[in-house]
Amino acid sequence: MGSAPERFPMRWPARWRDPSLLKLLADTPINLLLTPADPGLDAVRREARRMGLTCGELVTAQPSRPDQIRIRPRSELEWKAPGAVVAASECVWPSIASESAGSAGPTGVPWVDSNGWFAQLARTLMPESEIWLVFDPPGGTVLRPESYALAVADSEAFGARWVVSLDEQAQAETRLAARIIQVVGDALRFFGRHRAWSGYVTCAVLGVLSDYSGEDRHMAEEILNLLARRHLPFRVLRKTDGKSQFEGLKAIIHPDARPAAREIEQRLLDFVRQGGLLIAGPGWRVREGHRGPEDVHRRFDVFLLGKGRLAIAREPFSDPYLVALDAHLLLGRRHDLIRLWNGGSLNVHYTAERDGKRAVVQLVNYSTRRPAHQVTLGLTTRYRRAWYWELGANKPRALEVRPASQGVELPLPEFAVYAAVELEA
Amino acid sequence: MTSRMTRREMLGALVGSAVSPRRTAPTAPVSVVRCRSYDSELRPALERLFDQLGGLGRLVKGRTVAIKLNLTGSPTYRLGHRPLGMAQWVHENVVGVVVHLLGRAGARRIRLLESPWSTAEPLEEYMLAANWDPQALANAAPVVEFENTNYLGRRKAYVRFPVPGGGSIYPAYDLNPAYQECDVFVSLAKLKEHATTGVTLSMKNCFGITPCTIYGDGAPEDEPGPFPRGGRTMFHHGHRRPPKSCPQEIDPSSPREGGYRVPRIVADLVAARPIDLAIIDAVESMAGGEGPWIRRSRPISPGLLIAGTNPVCTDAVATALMGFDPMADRGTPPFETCDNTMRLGEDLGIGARDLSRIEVRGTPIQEAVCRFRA
Repeated sequence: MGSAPERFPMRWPARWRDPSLLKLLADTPINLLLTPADPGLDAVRREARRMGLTCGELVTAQPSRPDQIRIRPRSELEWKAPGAVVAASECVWPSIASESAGSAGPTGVPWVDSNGWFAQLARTLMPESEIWLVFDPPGGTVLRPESYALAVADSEAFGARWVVSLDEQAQAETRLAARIIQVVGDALRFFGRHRAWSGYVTCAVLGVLSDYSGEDRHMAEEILNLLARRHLPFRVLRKTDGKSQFEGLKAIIHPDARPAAREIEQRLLDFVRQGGLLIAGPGWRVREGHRGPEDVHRRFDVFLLGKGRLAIAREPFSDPYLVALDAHLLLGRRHDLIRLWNGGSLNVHYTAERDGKRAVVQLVNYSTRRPAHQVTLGLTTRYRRAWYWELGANKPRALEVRPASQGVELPLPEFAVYAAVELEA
Repeated sequence: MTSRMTRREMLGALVGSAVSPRRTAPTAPVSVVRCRSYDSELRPALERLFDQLGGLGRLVKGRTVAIKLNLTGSPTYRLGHRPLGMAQWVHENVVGVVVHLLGRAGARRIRLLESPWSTAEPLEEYMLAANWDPQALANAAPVVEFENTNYLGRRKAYVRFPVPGGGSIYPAYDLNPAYQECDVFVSLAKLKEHATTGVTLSMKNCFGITPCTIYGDGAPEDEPGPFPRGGRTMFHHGHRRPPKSCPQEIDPSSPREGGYRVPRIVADLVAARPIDLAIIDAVESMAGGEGPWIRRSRPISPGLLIAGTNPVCTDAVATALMGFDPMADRGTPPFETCDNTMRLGEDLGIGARDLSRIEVRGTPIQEAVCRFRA
């Protein structure tokens, strides 16, 4: 029995009532048209079905028909009862935030809007569901086709799917729309060809264990977002899962203000005794261990327990940027799996086959422009061979792997939106 | 006869002297050797560099040596694909071999110091971010320590370093005590141009001994902050003051211009915290500016190592090796928009910049010039 074909959804503009516009979708993977329930679009739907496309509708209430897909704000998603498709709104248009655009001197790292962390979170907490990200292009600005490629890449690289949506200008200019749809189609096709990568597991030495719900949700989610900006790969951990999910980790952040249940507490303490680092808020009840050396910023009390450490924040977590920073320093950069130079506008997703023999680093460039300085990728695993894929490429090219004091370094060619580096140990 | 006058007191006495400092400023030999790579030829080249100065033992035996490294800018910023040590930073192999040679020469304790930009993280962490191996540096001599001097760390109080003669911009600087708690102070710099000061060599490297908890953009108004925030644009533009508890500007009506202020601050810092050994890594570097954030900067390979016990003399020779005239002043390359830090250092009596007064040992300047501006 073959698996169901992948669905590539697009929100059809309500003003596009001419069925001939459907020809713009020819030769693209887009195969699901999401249209408003507007009789004026009947002709479009008829023609779409004739072309072999599926039609459906996004709704905000409980669906009443099989072709309806409910959108939920991502902050209200209940992880325990997902459907086959989870369509989340409240997503951001991926980009570099305008106030931090451009270079900021010797150290500037721009603020990036990305849905990547959410895609990783949703994929872990709802592994059986397809994760669709519902967001529109921003109004009042002229978007280059590369921005659309970025919207696809920021979703697909992290295991989710963007529900394609066109901006006002593209809706008004068929030629522009055609160019955008072609770019989107090329990007979707590229990720479709590399679907095996989405079966790889995240390479990380740091995990974040939270309920991801209630009052703890925002902090836990923002920590994921800001760890990603530090290029510090993380594994999303579930309280319902056992100890095996801690395998290979060197540190766990437990950001929840609510104390962990006794059973989870014991699991985490076992992790510490075996040499791990646990970073927790002040609500954590320290019952054993003795004081260790202070952390750099003196925001934590550090206790030694077994072979590991407990770092208990002195004040409740209030700034996720600082939590991510402190976690990185407490853990120590000697445990970095990946480093980037001149990669301030990039986020990365580092995954590998379970046996670790093959891996891929996907790099998403939120500036959508070739960087002013060439990017170098550093990996502490001494891979022997590497291949470089640019978005849309049919074939990879071999990359030079340079030995370095901390593993290997790979000088990357310039790319505007997305690149992937396949690695072989 | 042993003089009881400290070097700092001597500098103070020289300032205001009626005799032209160009003729009276002290001078010391400068050693220059060729070295084309950071590989196996580096160690013998550095040994030769120091041997030409009479060896390290007389300077460091039984003493605590503090080395101010030049690790400017972010560790994640590269000139193209070049590792930082091949462009804007001193190379880690140079640091490692220098530490090893100091240890072999009998240095009791070697301390690696830097004030990394806007962070309180340990210096080792900063190095790791650049893909350095701090453990290898720690193993290069019996006692090697690292300290981030951009803040107070676990120490109790900053130490005030008065500028001999009263200072040009500030009368004194409050610094991390690491700069006092050493018998020998080494400036380990890179051979580079600089957007504000024309060149950045062993003297300009000392700009980074100042803590951003006091001199940073995010420093509080009353007392030093607990952690460094921002860069030292206060030094460039004079648009804000150090915290009230620290020495304040002498003349707030003086020019608010980086090309005026920064060279004076650098010269004053070197007068206040004298450099005992200046080492300049010029094996691989960059031309056009001090870091890849400067447009039009490009790699350059001078293939040289330079050292001396007088920082002005050493920088003067280094400037000549870059194809510039160390006697040049504002308006002339590389000092088109700034005053010449070496001239200010000479005026303070730190050292001579007139090449006719400086003995160059090893490779002659004319045989080793690498023009930074072709």
